[in-house]
Order: sequence, then structure tokens, then C-alpha cells
Amino acid sequence: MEPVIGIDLGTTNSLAAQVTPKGLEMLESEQVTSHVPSVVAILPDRIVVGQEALSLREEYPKTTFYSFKRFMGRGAKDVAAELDNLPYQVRASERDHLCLGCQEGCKSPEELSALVLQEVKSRCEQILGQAVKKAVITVPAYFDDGQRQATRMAAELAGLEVMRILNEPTAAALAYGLGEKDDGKILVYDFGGGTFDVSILEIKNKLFKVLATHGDTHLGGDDLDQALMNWAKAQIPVPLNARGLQALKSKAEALKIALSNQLEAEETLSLPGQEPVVLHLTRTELDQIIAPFADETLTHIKLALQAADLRPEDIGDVVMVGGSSRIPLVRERVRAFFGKPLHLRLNPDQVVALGAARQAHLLAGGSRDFLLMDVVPLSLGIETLGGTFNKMIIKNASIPARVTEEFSTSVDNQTGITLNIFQGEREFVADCRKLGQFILKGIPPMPAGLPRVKVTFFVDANGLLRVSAKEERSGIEAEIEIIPTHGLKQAEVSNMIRASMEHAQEDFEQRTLVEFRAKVNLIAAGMAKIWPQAQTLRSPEELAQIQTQLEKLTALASHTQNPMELKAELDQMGNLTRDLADQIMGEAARQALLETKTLP
Amino acid sequence: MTQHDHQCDACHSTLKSSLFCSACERLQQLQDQETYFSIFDQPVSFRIDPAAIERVFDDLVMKLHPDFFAQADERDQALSLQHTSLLHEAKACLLNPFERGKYLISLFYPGEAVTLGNPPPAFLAEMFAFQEALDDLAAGKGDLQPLQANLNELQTRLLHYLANAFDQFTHRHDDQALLARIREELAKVKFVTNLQARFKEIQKEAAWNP
Repeated sequence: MEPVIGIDLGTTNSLAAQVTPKGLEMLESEQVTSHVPSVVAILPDRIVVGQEALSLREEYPKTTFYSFKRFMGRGAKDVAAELDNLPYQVRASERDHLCLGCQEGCKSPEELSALVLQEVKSRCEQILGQAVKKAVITVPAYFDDGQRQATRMAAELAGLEVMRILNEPTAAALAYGLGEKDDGKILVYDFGGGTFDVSILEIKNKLFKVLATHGDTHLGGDDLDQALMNWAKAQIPVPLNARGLQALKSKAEALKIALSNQLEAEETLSLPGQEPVVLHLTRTELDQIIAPFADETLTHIKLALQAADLRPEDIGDVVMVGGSSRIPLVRERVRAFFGKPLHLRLNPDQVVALGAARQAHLLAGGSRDFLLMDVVPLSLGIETLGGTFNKMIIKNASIPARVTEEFSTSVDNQTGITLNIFQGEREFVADCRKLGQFILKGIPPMPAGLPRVKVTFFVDANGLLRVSAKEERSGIEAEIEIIPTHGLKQAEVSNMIRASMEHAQEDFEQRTLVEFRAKVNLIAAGMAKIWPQAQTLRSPEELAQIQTQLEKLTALASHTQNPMELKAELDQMGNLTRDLADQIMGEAARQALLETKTLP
Repeated sequence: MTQHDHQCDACHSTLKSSLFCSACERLQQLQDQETYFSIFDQPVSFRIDPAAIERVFDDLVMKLHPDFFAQADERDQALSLQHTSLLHEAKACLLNPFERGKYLISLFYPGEAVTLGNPPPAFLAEMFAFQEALDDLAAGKGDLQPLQANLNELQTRLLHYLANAFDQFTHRHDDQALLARIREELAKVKFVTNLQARFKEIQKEAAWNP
């Protein structure tokens, strides 16, 4: 069988694993390891990747790149805030893509990641003694479409076919699920170098279901290091140049790592032409520096639990992943939150790659002993009348997913209908992100409300969305495939989710109000059209009653902020005009008008 | 219970599931007469057995999921994708009383849009009262438990009524008066479902910010 490996493409380290007859194993031999620090140094005469590049950080601060995973699939505006602390340059190139370094040594984050992947790939080939062409690659659960696409692109550049982009915390759960637990709910706490993710999964009869994911692509070990750097800088009497700052950064990191195992630590910073400075830090002092970050992760846990409709006591197992999860304070806070011991058996640096290998083995046709059911990260839907967002596939729905809904038109003799497709959690499309649009053309002229447009959303196992529409009376069809190219910027994702929670009720009222107003307009237009004909069908008293009600309704629609008030009058109007509508349009048209959602 | 009397298109064993042959593991082309009920081997009824549906779902998805067919030929890849999304779609519909009701009507009136009736003013007034009570709850006033009990009781009553009405409907689907009553009750269920969703949101908020 052709080897299909699992690769954890991390912010600070990348590594690969595979399934062997003995079970899940890291890809390493006595001579070679697939473990490659995610660092690339562009030197005048060559490119260096991994451990050696890491050691060049002080010598070539401006062309040694690290933590570039944070820039994958992002634009200049998204990352503006975090550029100050980097020794290398990050600037915008064409189409808002980012470019790292100076003219000669300029690389995109995708190219840099590709260099790391290439290194991992070639080491695996040395270990296995055969070519590696396919892999499952992991990304943080909170990576948006654009960031996932950038990861695919990096793999392609490295000559790897991506069998699946898998979420890191999900991968960790797969690695732990092996024979340990048959049923129960797992929370994966993934505090890595650059990102923080929390995912909740349910295991039932070897079926892994993702119940919820939550996180922050800008909360990780790098932030802890930065806070630590701010402390360290305050200990140095003189301002430092780029090289001096890199040296200080290495010392600060060494202190942090040492304090995972001891209560105090010391490092000496020696710079040319300066007195050596001794940096002394205790566990208690470190705890004070990182406590705000640890607390922030607990907030994300609460939000994930809320999304899954669970309480802390419902969680059977807590799995810790990522280098920052080794920090004693972090472990203590999480343990206290759940009131139970944490799962620490597997090396938190390896568990993601191990899980990716397990999924890779499954996709290669190797085993059928488990199944992971993944979910849609953000709701998908279309714009309906009044700019409202009609969600078709709701956030956290299992994939592959298909949903069909029926819509109609708002204007007479409409022969073309434009479908606008959006992604987001808010009630109005103006607050969501547009994914694409297409036009259903060639519908025969019909009164408003009579066409029956069936819209189908289909998301396949890789998260790719296809939208199709069919007008049932005429059989006219159209379809669009949406390839997520430039995803939501992370700031947008978090803002959208935060805003959707803050505005949920307000949106709901506003939405019903908009819908009811649109309905009033439809009724007024419809009445104007049929009024002459109506004179012959109903009594003058009845028509007068309808006339009065219509005036009351349009007046109310123009000023009321209370959707329920408007609804009551609309219902009254419906009662008054029911017989008339029956006579004029027949049952089908009436019901279409009264009950169908209409497209703009 | 429904019976699958057709055979596997490869080994001709009698099929237990219309989607998959348990004897030779071949994915089957979906037959026209299959419904959301038949693929879960359930009778066509408003009364469902959620545990049985979950059980059949878990069992089938472990056999049909596209991840198991990543190396298979085009036919099997396409069928596994179709069948798995159908399973998700069918389960979501059957476990939701409102969607289940609409789907049941559509089975007897294929090709027609299923519309809802207009509940009487008294019912709407009752809904407004609930809405206001929920507004109060959201603002931190009032008690969660009694409201929840009232909502649940109302829903139980509606679903009980609908279950009986649908029992008759499956034998007398030409009875327009009965259909009109069902449409009206379904509209009520929709109102109550929306209220319950909002209640749940408020309840979650309250649980995290006591």
C-alpha cells in the first residue's frame, strides 16, 4: 500500500506520523526524525530549514522566518497589530497577499510553509525508503476557508496531494480514542505556539462526532513569549538592537520552559561590549505574567460548552494538546475548571500528528474501525427579501450535508432570479460574508408568488459547497460550485460571532419587522392590481372594510417598531381578504402569496 | 414495519437496508419509492422512535460514509456521498416534529408546496404572552421553571393532538377538513418551537452568568 502520512504543520514545530502494523507511530529512525522546527532562513547562497535555521535566528534576524503560520491566508490589515515585534519585515504584495522579508529574500507564508513541508516529506522518504505523495495535514479548528486553502496550496507547492485538511483538536481526539474509550464526551484543549482551539467531541460506537469547536487564531505561546519579553526588556538597562532582542527572546523562552519543571530559573544574557545581565524569574512571577492568557482560554471553553449545550460535568475526558499546555499554571486552571485529572499520556507535541496519521490510514483504505464526522464551521444560506439572511445549513451541522428549501418571487413576471449566497451567523446579509451569486434565467412570466424555486445547498466531505436552484413549474435549473478561495479574515470571524450573540434579539425583531413590512408592500401592490376586478366580486361594505384595513396597515408599517403589532394587523387583513383572494387567484396562487418565502 | 423486498443489484441477497447490502457490502442505487421513513426502516407515522432512528443512523453511517470510499471507484464515491447526506437530511427531518409533519403531508401530496394554516387569535394572544414573559426573562425578571413547564406542556399537547390527527390522516388523506386542522396545528408547533429555541438561549445565558 502506498504510504499516506499524517502531518502536523505547526506554528513552531512540524512533524509526521503513520500507522504501522504495530500501531500509531511517529516517523523517526535512529538517524533521521520528521520533527522539523517551522523555521526557514533565506541566506545569500542557500535556504536553510528546521533546526539549523533556528540556530541562525540571532545571526540573520531579518531573513530568518518563524511563526509564519500566523500569516497563512491573511491580508495586511489582519496582521497590522502584530508586526511591531517581529525582527523580519512583513509587507503587502499584490492582491493584499503578504510577503515576508526584503527584496531578495521575499517569500509568501505559503512558500515558507511549503519549504517546511518539503523538508518533512523528504525526511519521511528517507525513513520509509519510498516516495511519499499523499498526506493528511492538520490546521487549527478555527482556520477559515482562506487559511485552509493557503495550507492546501503550501502542500501542493511541496509536491504533496492533500487527502484531507483535518482540525488539530479533532486529530488529537482520534489519537486518544484508540482503544481507550468506547463512549463518552471529550474536550480537547489545544494551546499551541500561535493558536488556541477547544473542541468537544462525542464518541459512540467508534463514531466520533464533533459537537462544537471554538477558539482564537491569535492566542498562543507566541503571546506568552511576548508578554515575557516585555518583562525581560524591562530588566535590561540599555535598548537592544534586532540581534540583541533575538538573544533576549531565546533566554526568555528558556526561562519559561525551565519553569515548567522547577520553581525558579536563571539565564545570563551576554552581549558584545556589554556587562552580562542575569535574568531571574520564579514560577509565581511567571504565573502572574501568563494568568490573563490562561483565563482567556477558559472563556473559550465556556463558549464551546455553551454551543454544545453541555456543562463542565458532562465532559468525561479532557485532552491537553500543544506546547503551552505543559505550563503548570495552564494545567492547574483547566484541572480546576473541570474538577478532574487531565489526559497527559501522549506527548502533547506529537498527539496531533498521530491522529492525522490515523485518519490518513482510514482514507488510504487501511481500516474501518472508526469514523470521524466533521461539521460546517459557519452557517451557509441565501439572501431573501429585505436583505435578510436565510440560513440553509446551520453552523455545526455534520457533513456531507444537503438542505433543500422552497422560495418564490416578489415581483410579477420576473423571468430571472438572482441568488446571493452568504456565510455567517447574523440575521442580515449585510453583516455576513458573500460567497458568490448566480442567476436562474428563463423562467416563464408568472404572477409574483407563483414560481416555486427549490434551492439546494450541498456541502461535501471536504467542506466544498455546491448550490443549485430549480423552478418547479418550468423545470428551469442552474448550479454553482463555490470554491472557498479567500476566506473570512479571523478578525471578521470572531467579530461576526461576537456580534451575532450581542445582536441576536435585536436582529430577530428587526428581521421580523422587515419581513412584515415587505409583506405589507406586497399586499398593497397586489390590492392595487386586483382592485378593479374586486368591485365585481365582493360587496361594497366588504370592500370598504378592506380599504380601511389596508390604510391602517400601510400607516402602521411606516412607523411602528413593534413586529407583533404589525403581525396582528396583517392577520386581520388576511382574514378580510381571504374570500376575495380565493376567488381571484385560486387556491394555489393564494397560498403561494401568503406562505412562501420570497427572493429579492 | 416497512419491508424491503428488493434485492442487492450485485449478489441478489434480500436487502435489509435499501442503501447498502450487508451481505456483499455493495452500495445500492436509491429506489424511487424510498422515503425518509423507509431508509431508517420505520413505519410512515408521526409517532417515531428516536432511539431506533439514532441506532440505524449510527449503524448505516459507519458503512456508507465517503471516508470509507476514498479509494473506491467513481460510482461508489458518488453513492456514498449521496447516501450519507441523505441520512443526515432524513434524520434531521424526522427528529424535528414540525419538519416531520410537513414531510408526512408532502408524502401524500407529492409535488405540492406544504403550507401552514392560520392559528386562531386566542392562540396568537397566548403566544404574545409567552413572548413577553421571555422578554422579561431575558431582562432578568421572572422565573425560568414555570415558563418552561408551561411551554413543555403546550408542546406535549400539540404533539399528542398531531399524532392522533396524523394516524387518521394516513388512512384518510383526502379528508380536507382533517388536513386543514393538521396545517393549523403545525403552524402552532412552529410558534412553540421558536419560543422554545429562544427559551433555551436565555436559559444558557442564565446558566453561565448567574
